[in-house]
This record gives sequence, C-alpha cells and structure tokens, in this order.
Amino acid sequence: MKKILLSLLVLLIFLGGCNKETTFNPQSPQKYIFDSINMSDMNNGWAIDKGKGKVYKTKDGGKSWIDVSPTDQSLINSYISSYYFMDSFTAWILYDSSILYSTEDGGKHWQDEKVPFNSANLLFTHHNDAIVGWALKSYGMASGNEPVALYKYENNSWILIAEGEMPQKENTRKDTIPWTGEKKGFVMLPDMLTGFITVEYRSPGNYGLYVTNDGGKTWYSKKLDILENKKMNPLLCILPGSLITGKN
Amino acid sequence: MGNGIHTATNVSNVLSCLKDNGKTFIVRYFAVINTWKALTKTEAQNISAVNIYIVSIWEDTDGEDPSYFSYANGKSDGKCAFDYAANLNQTANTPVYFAVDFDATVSNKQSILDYFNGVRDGYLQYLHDRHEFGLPEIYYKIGVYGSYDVLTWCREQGITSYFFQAYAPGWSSGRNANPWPNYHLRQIASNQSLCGINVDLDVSNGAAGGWKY
Repeated sequence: MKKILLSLLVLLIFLGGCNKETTFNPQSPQKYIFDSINMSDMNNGWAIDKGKGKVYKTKDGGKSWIDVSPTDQSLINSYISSYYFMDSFTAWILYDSSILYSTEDGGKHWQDEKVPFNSANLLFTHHNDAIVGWALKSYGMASGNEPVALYKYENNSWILIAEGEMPQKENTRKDTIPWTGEKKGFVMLPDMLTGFITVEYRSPGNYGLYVTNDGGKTWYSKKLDILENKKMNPLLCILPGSLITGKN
Repeated sequence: MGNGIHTATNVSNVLSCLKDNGKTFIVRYFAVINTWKALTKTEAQNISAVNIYIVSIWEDTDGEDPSYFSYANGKSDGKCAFDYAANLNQTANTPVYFAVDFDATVSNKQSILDYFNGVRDGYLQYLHDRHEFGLPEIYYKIGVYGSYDVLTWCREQGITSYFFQAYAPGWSSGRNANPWPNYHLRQIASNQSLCGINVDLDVSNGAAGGWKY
C-alpha cells in the first residue's frame, strides 16, 4: 500500500512539474504578485514580479499566465530592477546583476548582455528601421536624492551621453541633470532630440522637470504654470506620458 | 537632544564649519556598489579628530524600490553592512541603520519584515564568518531608517533596536509629519545647503548610536 501511495505521489509531482502553464480558476485562483501588467492588446500581455525576478505572459486576456523568465542560474536571487515592453514579442528585462535580457519572440528565447548599469529607467523605440534604446542610469538613492547618467543604445553598443551632477564634484556645469531629488520619470521623444525627466522631492510642493533638446547632452529646468496650483499636494509626481499626450 | 546632518558628501573639508554650526553628529553612508556616497576610513578619522560622532546608515542599491525588499537582499545587505562596519572599526554595540527609502504601504509590510529577517541572518553570518577566520566578533545593533509606519512595523517585529525617522511629511498617509514616538534620530529637513554641501538636518534623542575613534 505504501509503495502504491508513493508511486502515486511521485507521478503527481512529475505530472505537476510538466505543466508550466497556470490556469486561472475562480474556485481556487493562483495567486500572483505582479509589480506591473502591460497588455499589448486585448489578449496578449506581459507581467513582472520584480522581487522574484520573474516574467510572465498571457495570451488569453489574463486568465492564465506562463512563466517565460530567462532561466540562467546566475539569476537566482536576482531581482528585476527595470523592464521595457515594446509589443507582445519584444521586451527588455534588466536584472540587478547588470545583465540586460532581450527577446524578440515573446520570451521563448532571451539574449543576454552585460550593460554599464544595474538600475535604470529604460526606453526603446524604432528609429530609421533600427532599434534605439535609452537608459537613465541610477547611481542609487541617498535620502531622496539620486545621481544619474544617460546612456544611448545604438549600433549594438551603449554609449554614455551625459553624466549627471554628483555631490562630491565641484564646479559642476549648470546644464547637467542635478543629483537632488528622485528621478521618477524619463522619456525621449521619437525625434531623438527632445526628452524629459521628472523629479520628486521630499519637501511638500517641490517638483522638478528637466528638458533636453539636443539628444540628452544638456538639460535645463522647466517651470510649468499648470503645476503651480498643485503646490499643496504633499508629494507631486508628474509622469511624462501625461505631458506628451495632455492638451496642456 | 543633539543636532546633526545627514549627507552623501565627504565632509572632510568642511568639518570645522559644521562644528561651528553646532553639529554634534554626521550620518554617513555605507555602500559597496554605489561607492560615490560611502564613508571611508580616512573620513571617519577626520570626523573623529574634531570630536563629532558618526552615525552609520546602509543604503547601497534600490532602497527606494519596494521590490528590492526581500529576505535574500536583507541577508546580503546585513552581511555586507556589518563587514563594512568592522572593517572601519566602528565601535562595538553601536547600530547600522538600514534604509527603507520610500513611502511604504501595508502591501509592502511583509517584504520589509522579510528584509529585516534577512538583515538579522546576515548579521549572524557576519559573526560566524569572523569566528571562522579567527577575527574578533564585534557585536553591533540593527537600526531602521524609514517612515512612521515602517518604524512601527519594525518595532513590533523586534529585530531592530534603533529607529531613524525619514523626512517626508506626506509619507504614511501624512502620519510621518509627526514625530514617531521614541525615535533615536529624526530628519527634520532635506536638501539644505550648509558649509557649501547639500545636507539633511537631523535631531537625535542623545542616544542614537553614534561612534567615533
């Protein structure tokens, strides 16, 4: 009897391990903790569990999710520090080990690349039939302040475009990205010249918006009248997306 | 009650000015990856030489990212932070504060507590490794830097024994605008200019675990 039970148990474990796809069942739903869900259309989408370093895909509008994470052993205990989903096939995943994974087939295969940043705001766009990438590298926070640097991916390599201000350096240029404040948002427009960085400060009513018009080489502070009436908010965060699409 | 600063800048060149401004302690960072903000032994010697206390805080990578907080990262940070303290010869029985540098909500509570479970085990690993290598076991304390709610959760958990309240009046649904009861350190202003460097202003309860040579 014991042998039969043991055989059944082994069989159950084996069969359970074969099926990677998890189906949503309203009676006993599989629980996920997603940091982000990005739907490419009504059915296809990506999801991320940053802490566990996991990437998931759905093809049925979120009813079931398939783990399509890169499977390298080096990723054990790594977490996802950033990601970018272009469409249902193309994505980039940055791990804290400074390895950037990219896929063009929906996560079936991943290409890995060592990059000069382990934490960054990522952005990829098509430009003249090629993919161009941007990474606003974070040097880590210090009590609400965050030095950064801007990198651009072009012709298969990452190039440093601009070093932001660092607190230790003297005589910093005025047209660099300041180190104070947390860099919450970053976007470059398709013209490859215009870009925005939004900054959040701990002091109530303070915000920052920095703009470039020369492809990220130089940056200047921009004041927006529309934000002045928000000054009573304890914290003010402005997402670049609303700046691009909003009428104001 | 003592007055001090919290800064990511090496203070070696402005110590007499800070002293003239009545500062009795300086909070400085430990980091092994983002070393631009890290306290060095020479700087610690300089600070000690003018009779100012040092307070140690660990914040290396992604302390502002809720996803960073896990048992594994806590254990790694705990080991690294106390190795760093011992290498600097930080005074025994003083704390290293670990930063939770974002506005944590209840949904983040368990991962933050997991992180501090990891910090405790990283500290035990540090002690074990010192013992294995025949080095003196220097005992330290675990502190937490964060919002009103984070400090409350950590006090209930019982691993941390030093508490440093971050400056961000809007955090913890506005509760962070009020002093957390029994804080050891409290930031009272951020991004101030003092003696030519960017600082946050802190107050201590007089027993915040500062150290000097």
